[in-house]
Amino acid sequence: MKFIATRIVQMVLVVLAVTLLAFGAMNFLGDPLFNILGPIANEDAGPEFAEVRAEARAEYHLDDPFIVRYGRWLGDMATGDFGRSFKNQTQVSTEISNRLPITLILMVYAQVLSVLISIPWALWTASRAYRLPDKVSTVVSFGMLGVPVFALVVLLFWLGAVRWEIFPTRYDDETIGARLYSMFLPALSLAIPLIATYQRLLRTDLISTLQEDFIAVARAKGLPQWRILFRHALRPSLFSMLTVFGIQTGALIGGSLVVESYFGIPGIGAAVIEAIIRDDFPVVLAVVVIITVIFVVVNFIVDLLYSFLDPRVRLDG
Amino acid sequence: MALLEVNELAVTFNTPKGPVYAVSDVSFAVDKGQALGIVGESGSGKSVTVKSLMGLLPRTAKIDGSAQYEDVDVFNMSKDRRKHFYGVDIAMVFQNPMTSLNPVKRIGEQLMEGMRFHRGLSRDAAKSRAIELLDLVRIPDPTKRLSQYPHELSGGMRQRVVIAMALANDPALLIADEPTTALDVTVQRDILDLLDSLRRELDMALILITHDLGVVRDRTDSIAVMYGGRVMETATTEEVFADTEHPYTQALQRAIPDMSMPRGTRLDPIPGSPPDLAITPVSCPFAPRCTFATDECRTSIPPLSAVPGSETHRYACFHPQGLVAAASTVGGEA
Amino acid sequence: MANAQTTSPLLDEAPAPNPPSIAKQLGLGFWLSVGFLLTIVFLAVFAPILPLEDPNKVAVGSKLEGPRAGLWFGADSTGRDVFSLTIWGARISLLVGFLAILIGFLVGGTLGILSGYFRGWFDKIVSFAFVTLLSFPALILAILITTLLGRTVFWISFSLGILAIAPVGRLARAQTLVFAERDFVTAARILGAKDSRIIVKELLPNVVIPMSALALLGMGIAIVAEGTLAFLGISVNGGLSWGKQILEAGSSVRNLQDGPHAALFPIGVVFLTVLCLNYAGDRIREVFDAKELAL
Repeated sequence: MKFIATRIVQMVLVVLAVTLLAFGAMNFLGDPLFNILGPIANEDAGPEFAEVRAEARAEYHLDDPFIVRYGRWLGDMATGDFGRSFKNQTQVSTEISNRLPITLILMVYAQVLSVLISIPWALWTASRAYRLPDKVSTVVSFGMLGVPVFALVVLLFWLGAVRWEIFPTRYDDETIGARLYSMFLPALSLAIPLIATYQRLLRTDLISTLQEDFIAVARAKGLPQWRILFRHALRPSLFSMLTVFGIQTGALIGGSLVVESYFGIPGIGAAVIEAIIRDDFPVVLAVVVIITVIFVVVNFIVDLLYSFLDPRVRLDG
Repeated sequence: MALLEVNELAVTFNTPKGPVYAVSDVSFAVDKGQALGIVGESGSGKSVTVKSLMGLLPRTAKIDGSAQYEDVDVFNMSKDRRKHFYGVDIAMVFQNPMTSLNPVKRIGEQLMEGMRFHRGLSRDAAKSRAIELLDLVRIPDPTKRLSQYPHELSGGMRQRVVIAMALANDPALLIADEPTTALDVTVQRDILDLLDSLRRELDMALILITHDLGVVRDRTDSIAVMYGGRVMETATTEEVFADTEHPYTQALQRAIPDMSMPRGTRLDPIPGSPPDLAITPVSCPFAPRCTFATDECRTSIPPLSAVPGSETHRYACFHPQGLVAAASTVGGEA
Repeated sequence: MANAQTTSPLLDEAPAPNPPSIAKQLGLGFWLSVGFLLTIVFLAVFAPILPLEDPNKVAVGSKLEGPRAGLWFGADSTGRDVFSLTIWGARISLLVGFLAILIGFLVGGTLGILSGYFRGWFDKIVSFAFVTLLSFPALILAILITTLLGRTVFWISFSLGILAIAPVGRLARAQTLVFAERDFVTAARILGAKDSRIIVKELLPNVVIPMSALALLGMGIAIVAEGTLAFLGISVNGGLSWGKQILEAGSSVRNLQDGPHAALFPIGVVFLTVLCLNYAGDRIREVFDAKELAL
């Protein structure tokens, strides 16, 4: 329990630090008034705009001290109020709640694909370690790590949608089936580097687990190979992969920006890019906070999962 | 008729640095319900021998010779026979109970999976059989143990669980590879006695592997002494102790700890170290450490010869100690 | 001593094999990778004086013309020379990759070594800063900084460099912790050497070598990150870059149908560049780790 408490305090501190950093950067490095009003925010624009400027200042509380504004923003956020967009006066929370599920589906889709492909692949190669199929796999997965997502999306789109015409060229959310089908290439683009990462880590851990005595014991029990691999070797070998699973969530978020904008998927990745280009800071801030929270929570869950993988790991350590 | 008969077994590992002759020309037999002790220090090839029988050697190992288990040719089994052979006909107990159990699976699960796979027992049937087995290996409070993890048990308890696991499908032959080496001295004896009494209770054959000749003295019917991948001497347990032929067996005898010895008595370690098995064998492997070695021992390999008047006693030595002593006594009298 | 000399025949029987030179241990693949990287760097640096087509000149070839002699990578949808575009794109991609890693190493390396050496409250603050930086969604941080500060080569490198600070700093700290415990550092401390001297003379050389592997891997990541920004349309204003080139060639179904080569060639070059950086970094790490073990 002490471990959980420490981790929660740490999580809250990290989220606070990130929000402070982001809010500070927006206010000190940028110019909120300019972002709201555009060129007329400048004093030189003429006295006729003074009233507009004052109105905007009052509306967005720009004259309050930084710490007060930061505090108010945090407080609002805690109640689910992310403020109003600078650009189109809509509630940021509405936009986020429309778009966040799409991004989450995409990320889960990618992780599911990665896990479903990498685990059997790693089991297959580890049980044939240092033989030809394993050597070929090592080269292939090393290559997969070298393809940037922005190159992958074009490559997969060209192959899957243009050349072979297997998948649709547009995002389609008519039905769940259509949505999953049209999200396959985007999810695969995110998954390919993950598959390679997981396969490499899991293979290494599996090879060392397969040297363990309890594997020889399982063999001596006369259990078949597939059962030994899945039931005995897999679970004790998942540690490195699980650790990276948490860290990779960050890469996945970055990748989803690329994938969403290229494939035209209306998730928060695409939203944040639009917002940044339009200098719409409330939206950017909201997305940054949400993404950080997702990232921190996923890593917290990963820590909890360790004790499930190995009963010897106690959470009070 | 023998339950298991091993003939001229040879195991060679092909390594990048050349072949390693881990086991050469090893023959022995175990009868139904009988116990065989295989004795030798580490590197003598005893573990490789049983691992070859259990199909546990890596692919780099080349196995020659034959092993006949009842009507089964162990090294050339059909796929169907093999599916339910290990863990059913022959089972094995390993050296280190601390690493023999899967740390992330409950005791019950590990006990039950063998019977469920080989015999298709239902969960409930397997569970009651598991409790029965834990009771058989004298583990107190067996029902509670089923839901425990290995790390919650002591070393001795874990080895009992490993033994129970091996017994799950009533094997006709149990191989125990140094089952007490990794345990506290205080529990070693308990485990050995348990194996001995289980063998009698279940009418099961046992191959007990050890580096300690003392361990097999009261618990086996016959003994094979191995050194450098070869059998040095094989006989009934009685013969080995009454009439030791091989200098290496003698040396092992001197290394047996004895409770009757006065405190502070030093055991006689065997000087020197085991041979390098990477070299093509051309001499008696024990020759470099043997006080009786002659040029003959260093240039040719002594064949297994029978002791006159015994059908079971064989030795591989040019200077059989028992026979030499007998001859000199006879000579002295004459 | 004379005795030792006479027993040397024994040594002759089993001569200690000469350990293969580092160059040999690194292997052919490593040198091939380095060769490819040097070629790309050479082409990128000397692009202005090499006999290349102006990358911005349209209608050098016909629309989406396939590869041919003189137009090695073919032409894109406006008839520009794809080979020339790729080489000119390498200039910004490689420069940003290099600058970002430089910044990351200067800041992260310094912080990591200092916090690992001095420990205490400074270490605690720096470590927390690293955790915070790592918790930040990397790409969004980069986008944020670039948007706020400006889309120039320097600020883009700077923002990517900030991303490198935490990973580099953590490794530097870990390495420092290892070496700070070693005898030669303890000895220097006991002899009364100044902290600054110990850090520069004793620790730095030992920490820098293992980190060179990270530099290569990190450069690959930075190049990909710059490409990603460019692909999203928020990299250097008006500059040529691999990410931008791939986006332009790959964002239209029609163009991909008629002339995929315009996208596939730069993709291939990015892929090989990142692959070579990864491979070279991996090899250095492996060879170095093996040496560490042998010590």
